[in-house]
Amino acid sequence: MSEAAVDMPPRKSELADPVLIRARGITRRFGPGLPALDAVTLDIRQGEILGLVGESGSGKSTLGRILLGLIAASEGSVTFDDMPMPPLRPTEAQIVFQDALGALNPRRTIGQSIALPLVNAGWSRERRADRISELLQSVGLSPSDAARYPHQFSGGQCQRIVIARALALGPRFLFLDEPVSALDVSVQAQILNLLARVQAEAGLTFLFVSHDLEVVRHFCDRTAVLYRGQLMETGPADELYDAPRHPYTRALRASVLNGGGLPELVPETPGSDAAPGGCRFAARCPKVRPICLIERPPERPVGPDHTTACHALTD
Amino acid sequence: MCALRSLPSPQTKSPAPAAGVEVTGLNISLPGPRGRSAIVRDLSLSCAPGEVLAIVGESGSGKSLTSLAISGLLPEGAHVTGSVRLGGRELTTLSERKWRDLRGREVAMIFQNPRGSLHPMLPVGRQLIEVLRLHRRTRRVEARAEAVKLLTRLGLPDPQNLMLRVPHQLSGGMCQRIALAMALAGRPRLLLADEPTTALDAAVQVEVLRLLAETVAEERIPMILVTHDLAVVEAVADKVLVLYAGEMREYGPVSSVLQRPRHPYTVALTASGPSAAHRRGRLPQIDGTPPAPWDRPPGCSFAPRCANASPICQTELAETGNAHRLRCHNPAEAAHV
Repeated sequence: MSEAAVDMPPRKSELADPVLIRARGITRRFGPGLPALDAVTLDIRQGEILGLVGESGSGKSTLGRILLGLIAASEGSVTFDDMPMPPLRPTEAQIVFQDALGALNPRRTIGQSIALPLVNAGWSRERRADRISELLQSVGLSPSDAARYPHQFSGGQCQRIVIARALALGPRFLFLDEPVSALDVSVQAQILNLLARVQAEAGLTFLFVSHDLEVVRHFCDRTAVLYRGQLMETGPADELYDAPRHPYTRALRASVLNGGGLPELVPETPGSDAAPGGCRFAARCPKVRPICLIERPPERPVGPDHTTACHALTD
Repeated sequence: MCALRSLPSPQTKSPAPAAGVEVTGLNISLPGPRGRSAIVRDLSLSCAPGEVLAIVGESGSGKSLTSLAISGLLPEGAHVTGSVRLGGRELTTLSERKWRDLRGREVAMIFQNPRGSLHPMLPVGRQLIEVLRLHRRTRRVEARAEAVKLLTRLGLPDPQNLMLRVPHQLSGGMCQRIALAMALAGRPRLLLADEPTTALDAAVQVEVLRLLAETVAEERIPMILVTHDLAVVEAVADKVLVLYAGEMREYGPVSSVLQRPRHPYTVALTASGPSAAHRRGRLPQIDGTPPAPWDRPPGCSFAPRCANASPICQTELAETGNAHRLRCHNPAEAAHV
């Protein structure tokens, strides 16, 4: 801990901020049965860090991939900077995965890996070399590391390399798909600090996927909660952590381990899936009502810049 | 935690009262790019029946290798000195033949990826019955009845139906419970859990941890829990061993080590998680990376990253304490946290 903990000015995400990505009624089906994403409507504002939480299989990665134009939505529309999608250019948006080592070609030096987007964009050899040195330094590595191979780096260093590659073409939007989930807590702190710095320096917009509510509260401006493809709650990150409204967000919050023993949880009643028309969480919800099984609750405001989709909270 | 201990045991058929596990002066070396290098050095620990000992450390700190040494699963070429005793029996000198008899039965393991430890094509019931027949040498019918009992005890609803499913039809939490049932099938005298909940969602993690804690308390099994998550340690462990670069830094009761950490590394670890204290600000981080095993500095291997380091740290390693052991010349004040 040789570096002192320097506080940055708190960011703020306002309702009035310009919207960078506007997703409307995104549905994605991967086959028969319930869709992986079910009419998700979400705005990502310019310069904000939006956290996306939910259990595995809730559609977090699918949503990110649709927003990047990597896969198509079955229904609904996405606009980027008010332009319809696709095509989204790699100069605008990039992605960082959880498995950094797996995202790097083991037979290429990291310099070659970082160069690839620059080659594709037609950069000259000299400009590429300069840019690679600059990028490596900006993520806390040395320019001489460019000649080394991925296996010579630790997990945290690989994540730095992947971040450098994602930043190569100066994108405005990064989709960070569980970038710190596989890292040890000390390395996680290093990567979160690095991401916060590059975000602030270039005014980037992040969609940050995590299943760790504490990390999201720390790192994000706003949080969106997905449950089996449906958006449950969206609001300021602090508020979602300190005063969650939706029963599912409350259940998530209750399962955070922070000192002391194991929290008491509402037992899950598996196997009773909701009917396709209703709220997906109804089968596990402690506040379930008959209407929840039939009709999907609309999103309603429950506070400033805070919406939730729940029948039990409307009256 | 304490409340769990008093839960009534639905069925008590433990073997002769199992003694705990005792590791003394364990050294593990592996062949590496610069010749043989010591990965784990001079490690001692003990875990009594019904107790949960957590081993924490960053990736590469040797925590998994330690658990592999205790389960006799070290890779080819690994060289071990020191002693690992389970119920008074020395394990490091056992032949592979003896190990095959012991491993999975007396020493049971649970790993991070529950689906990976199950056969993807076979119904989970068949896999569990196979393990039960192997360990208990019973007939199929009896093994089946025992399987149903075991699953019921682990809180799995409708076990008859569940046993017909294959792993991909089950959630990660269910698979981890099946894996636990298989681990318990041999009535183990030691349970080794290597990151058992790391791949699980928060709510499922809580359920699986509760189940592990209850099982260990009811069956009076010692459990060694390998994890990098300090919140998990606080929630279920009684004792914690902090490893750095293959060496013990701090070792003692969780209430003492995590509430009042003395070693600068433990202090930094407990501080680097996100918490309300430094919301939105920069997280306190430990700069640099742990040394490679072949590149370990003399003295304290944490010294190059340590804010408290003094010249003596570069040459010698000090060890103090009894119940709360510590290897540091310049520890933080006891009332730090």
